[in-house]
Formats: sequence, structure tokens, C-alpha cells
Amino acid sequence: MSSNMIMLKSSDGASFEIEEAAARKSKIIANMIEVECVDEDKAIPLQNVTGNILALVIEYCNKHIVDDDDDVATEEASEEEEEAKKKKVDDWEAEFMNSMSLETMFELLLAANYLNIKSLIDLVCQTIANNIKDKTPEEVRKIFSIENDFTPEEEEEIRKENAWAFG
Amino acid sequence: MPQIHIPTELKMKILESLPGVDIARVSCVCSEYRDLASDNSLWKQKCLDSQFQGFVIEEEAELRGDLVDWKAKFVELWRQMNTKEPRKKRTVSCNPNFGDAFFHARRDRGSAACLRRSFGS
Repeated sequence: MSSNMIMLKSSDGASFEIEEAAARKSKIIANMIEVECVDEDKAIPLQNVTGNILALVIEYCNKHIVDDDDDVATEEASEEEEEAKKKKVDDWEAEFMNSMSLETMFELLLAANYLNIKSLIDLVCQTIANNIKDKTPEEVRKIFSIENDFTPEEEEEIRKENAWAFG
Repeated sequence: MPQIHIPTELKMKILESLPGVDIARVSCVCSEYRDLASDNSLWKQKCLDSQFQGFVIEEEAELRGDLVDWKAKFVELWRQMNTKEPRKKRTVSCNPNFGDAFFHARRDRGSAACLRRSFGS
């Protein structure tokens, strides 16, 4: 039953076939399936997601649907096995996120948000946060091309207020 | 995170994924992040996530409708954690004979929380 295939179509016209079980990682698509909005012969158009980003989303969903199946199969797995499995997923996620530019990360975040895939939103937010961690404000501005819009007085004030964090 | 516009809720989520000390640094980046990083509930979360447990006094104050400055609270704890001189160990005890005064001891929030959890309040 779960091996039903669904077609997704990106904003730039690329079509992707995905298992229903994987597509259900997206709450939006899961809802569409629930209310029977999905016509088997027709692709679901995703107007806010380009093909290259949708491919990443699908890669993520496919990976995690396999993991969920494993969970069911090895319900009585030992703690060690559980840990090893979790490490495997963590390693995969780290490599997955490592393979993309910051700009792609933001696009992936927007897509995950649009499709409502909570675990992917969490993963991308955490990865972006890791890029900010231990950086100075100047470094953060540079990495994310953010303009410093403080007046000198404002900047002095906020730096003073947070001086404790620059120890 | 400007080259691509992302909604405020996602920016907040990124801030939530940061340690408190990094949130403080990010607030010095630009006015938008300064404003986002001044969110009181964000700092409350950072306090509750920290290794200090039991903000019973503060949470009760909030329930009474008092305003708790959670960032100030966080900074206070952060300073305690990062002072160079050896600190007194925060003892955690569940001895119920400590009496009522104990509940109000500011230094021992952890213990007070522990007592309340064990015996109800």
C-alpha cells in the first residue's frame, strides 16, 4: 500500500516520482493525500520549489523513510544498536548538509517550510546556526552579506549591553 | 540573511538553535537581529535549556503576572558559570526538613525545584 508512487512537479517544470510514504514526510502533501486531492495520473505542482531544491528534499525524505521502516523492523533492538543507527543518520545528515552552499541551505529551508517538513526545518536551522556559532558580528555580517545598519551610537550601546558575550 | 528573504519565524528558529552567548553576539550584527534577539521568551528558553534546572521562583513570578527579564537572568547565570574563582558547589538535596525558608533561597533554585518536584507545592 505504501509503495504507491506520487508525481511532484517543480516550479521550473521538472517532474519527480516519489514513494507516497516518503512524500508524506511533507504535511502539506500528506494532507492533500488525505483529502484525495491527488490524482494518480497528475503531478502535484509545487510552485515555490525549483527542481534542484526539490531533488534535495526528495533525497532527504527517501533517506528518512527508509530509517523509519528500520525502526519498525527492529523494535527490540538493543540500546547499542539504536545508538549506532542514530549515529548513522546523524552522519548522513551531516554529509548531506555539508554538500551544499549556504545559499542552497536557505532555499532548502524555505522549501521545507513551504512543504511543512518539520525535521528538515530543524536540521537546516541547526546547520545554519552552526555556521554562526563562535563567530564575531563582523564575521556573521560577512558570511551572510548583512549590512551593518547601526548608527555608531546604537552599535556602541548594543556592544556594551552584550559585552559579557565577548569575553 | 539577506540574499534570500526568509520569514521572521524561520529567523527566530535559527536563533533558537544557537547557544545564548551566540545570540548575544548576533544581536550586534544589525538592527533586525538586535530586535529579534531581544525576545523575552527566547531567553526564557535558553535559561530553561541551560544546565541550571529549576527556575521555580521566576516561573511563579511570571504566573503572578510579574515581568521576568530572562536575558538578565541568563547573563547572571552565565557569569556565575564563567567566573575564574572557584565557586561554591550548588548542592542538590531532597531533604524535606530544610523548611520553608529554603524555598526562597536564591542561590539554591535547583534544590528548591527538586524539593517541589518531590513533594509538590
